[in-house]
Amino acid sequence: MAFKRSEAVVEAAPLETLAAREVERRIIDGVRKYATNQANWSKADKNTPFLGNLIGMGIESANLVDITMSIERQFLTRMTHRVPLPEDPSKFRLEKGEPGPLMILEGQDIHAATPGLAVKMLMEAGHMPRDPGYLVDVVSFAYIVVVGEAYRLNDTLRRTLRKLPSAADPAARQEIAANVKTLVAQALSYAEALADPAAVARSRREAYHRERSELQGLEIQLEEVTAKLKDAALSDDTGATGRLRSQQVSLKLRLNANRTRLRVAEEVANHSGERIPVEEQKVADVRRLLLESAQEAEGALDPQAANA
Amino acid sequence: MIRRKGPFVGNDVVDRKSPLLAARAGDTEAVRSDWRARHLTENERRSLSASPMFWQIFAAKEAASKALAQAGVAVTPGAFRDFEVDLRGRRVRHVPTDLRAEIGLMETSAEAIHAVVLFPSAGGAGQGVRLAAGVAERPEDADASEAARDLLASLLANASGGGSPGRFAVSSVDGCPTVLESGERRDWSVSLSHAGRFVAACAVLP
Repeated sequence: MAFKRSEAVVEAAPLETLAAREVERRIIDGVRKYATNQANWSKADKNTPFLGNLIGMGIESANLVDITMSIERQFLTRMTHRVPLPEDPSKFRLEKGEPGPLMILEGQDIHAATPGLAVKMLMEAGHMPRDPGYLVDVVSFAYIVVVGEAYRLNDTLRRTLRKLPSAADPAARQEIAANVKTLVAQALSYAEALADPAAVARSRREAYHRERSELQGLEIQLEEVTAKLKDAALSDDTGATGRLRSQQVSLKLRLNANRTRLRVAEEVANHSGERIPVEEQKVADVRRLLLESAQEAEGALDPQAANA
Repeated sequence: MIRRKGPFVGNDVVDRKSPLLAARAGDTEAVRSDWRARHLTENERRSLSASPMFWQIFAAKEAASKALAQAGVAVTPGAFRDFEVDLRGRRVRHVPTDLRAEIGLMETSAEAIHAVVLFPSAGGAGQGVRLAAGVAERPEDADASEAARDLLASLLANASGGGSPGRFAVSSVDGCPTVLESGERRDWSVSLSHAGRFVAACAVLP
């Protein structure tokens, strides 16, 4: 099984025979044509985000399906036997079967924001053996999100700051300066929050609990509607049955969406409190940038104070 | 912090002559067909008759996902089939929640497509909503993200009766763009997009 990438023909390889590092390399090679930031792509490692231009490969969110398909095209797996799900026979899970093309199920890759997290996803889905040695320095999805937000904030502060000297009109300068001040406050507050893993974990855990409460509320509503529907089915009131049935469908749809959101919130909450050394380093790097930008901005706003 | 007051806006621009558009869909007909299938619902596949329509549907889905994300609705990254677009009815449905959004603007030229989606639906083509939206060519060598922010600042300055666009800065909170005006954070829904040669921006104004 082969496909063409530019001039080269790439053979799909069985995942179970490949080392995690080789899978990572193939994943990075496969997304080259979607990377708008070739400089970042060329030095990408397991922890380089696919999306985003600042520290990522510059792939656009519109290309998420392309990333998934690029990964699928390159690998073969034994997880090919489709087992219908009891709650929804139109959906299925994959179990071991004959070797065949890799299929990443919808929603399975929502945390695969980097090549390393994509390899982790393949391991967790049973497509390749788990390799703790490889996973030890894969930055969690939680910290990809947290660190990415910090880089974007730093970028906004820097861009706004650059506009300050060119504003000749004092009123215009004052307006830009006011924006810079607000952004400095935001940057300092973010840098402070980053310094304390417990604070990061706390805020992310609160978000998780909010999501869980919403989900539980929906589950209770669904139970109630289902019970009412059983009673209504015994009566002749077809109007009430129809209304309840449509309410039940709508609640099931909302539950499905909330479960996805809860998975993301849970992943973020679970990992934001414990930092592995590579996460510590990435947090330290971006904190330093934020603090430097804030200091520079404060100096630009008040040169006398900065020189004192 | 996510704004809780609507309407919320999302936009997406497609550069129709970008070499990336052709590169994405794959080398063989089988891959192209699979690629399209992953972006369209059954109803959309049935309704699709012309090439620009695919990219209009695509842009409307991207725009809708941004509008719903601003409202705090869970949108799964890359799950294009979670959105069903009815171009004729100017509606977008988020299938998992059955929430409805409306297409406030769909500009199509030989060069680009720009879709703007409002959530919740405001009752037909953005009636009653003060919408500012625009597309511009990205200046050569300009950073796309910066060019989109500059366009938004110009749109906001024009919409508010003039003055310097420099008083606006576009930051982001929880992944959603937010506007600062002379240091004050504004509770306006705004959206940015860039693709190939184009940048686009839109805002719902008070």
